[in-house]
Amino acid sequence: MSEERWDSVLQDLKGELSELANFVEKTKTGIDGVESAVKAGNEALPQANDQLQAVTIDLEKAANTIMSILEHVMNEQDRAVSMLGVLKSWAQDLDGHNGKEGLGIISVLDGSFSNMRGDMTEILTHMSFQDLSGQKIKKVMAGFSEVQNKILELAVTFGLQTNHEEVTEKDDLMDELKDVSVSMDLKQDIVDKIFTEMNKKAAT
Amino acid sequence: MDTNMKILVVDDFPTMRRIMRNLLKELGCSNVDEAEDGSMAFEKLKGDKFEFVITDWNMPKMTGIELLKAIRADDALKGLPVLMVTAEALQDNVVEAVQAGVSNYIVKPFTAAALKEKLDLIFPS
Repeated sequence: MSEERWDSVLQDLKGELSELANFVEKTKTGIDGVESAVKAGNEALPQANDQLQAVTIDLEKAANTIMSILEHVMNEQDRAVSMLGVLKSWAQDLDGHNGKEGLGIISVLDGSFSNMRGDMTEILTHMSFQDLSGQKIKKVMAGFSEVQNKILELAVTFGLQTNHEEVTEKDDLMDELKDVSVSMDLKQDIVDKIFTEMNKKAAT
Repeated sequence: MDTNMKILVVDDFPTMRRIMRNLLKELGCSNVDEAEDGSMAFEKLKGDKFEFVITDWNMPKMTGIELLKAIRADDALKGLPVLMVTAEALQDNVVEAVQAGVSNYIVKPFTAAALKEKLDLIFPS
């Protein structure tokens, strides 16, 4: 092969290797990006899950408190209605104006109690919001769990460590990440060596 | 409707069981027991005499539809009226429940009037 042709081949090869090096560098940057996304996701998703769990617990507590108060009010009303019955029988025994007026007042109170009872029953049925919202939150949590599993799969695929481990294991994580960098650097070293070897051959 | 009948309310959410218990009380039914999933409910049904079951659909261990199928497959329980009370309002769910022999079906959230209407349909006077 002529020296000119050899130079041309070397130039092409250099170009190819340079592209390869760029590709490797870009891939490395990409993996670094994936790594930070994996770490962020792995931290954020369990936190979001915990928050939703806390919301569920708070909702249940609030619903139970409201229902306890409601049950108490309803029991008190039952007592009041029963006393109203006694008053009614007394009023019926009264003669004249007082008896009629008394029965009229009792009738108004009876209607008022009945309306209140209807409203209280409606509040009671609306407390099912806790169950319905709880079910929706459960579905969102299941979705988070699925995303987290996918992130972990991604981490395994790229050979990345996640922040799932305890703080004590963070040093190991850093070592591992360094290893990843080292292995990538090693590939760059190989490319550099090839360049050096090719240049040497070209010089001779 | 016999207001003294023994009713089993099945739901994994305690709030929902409490709501149902209170609504039944408003309708005059106080003989109510509870179970938090289909599996516990089936055990209670096998061990005691209940006359009516009100069940949720989505529950751990044994779902409401599985409980319904288990009831209908059991010689001693197959005639038991079962009311499904659920947030699952998809056509497929309703069809599946009807095919499995549900007595009636209420979609959450529901009103006390809706519950009374279904009870009147299941237990005509």
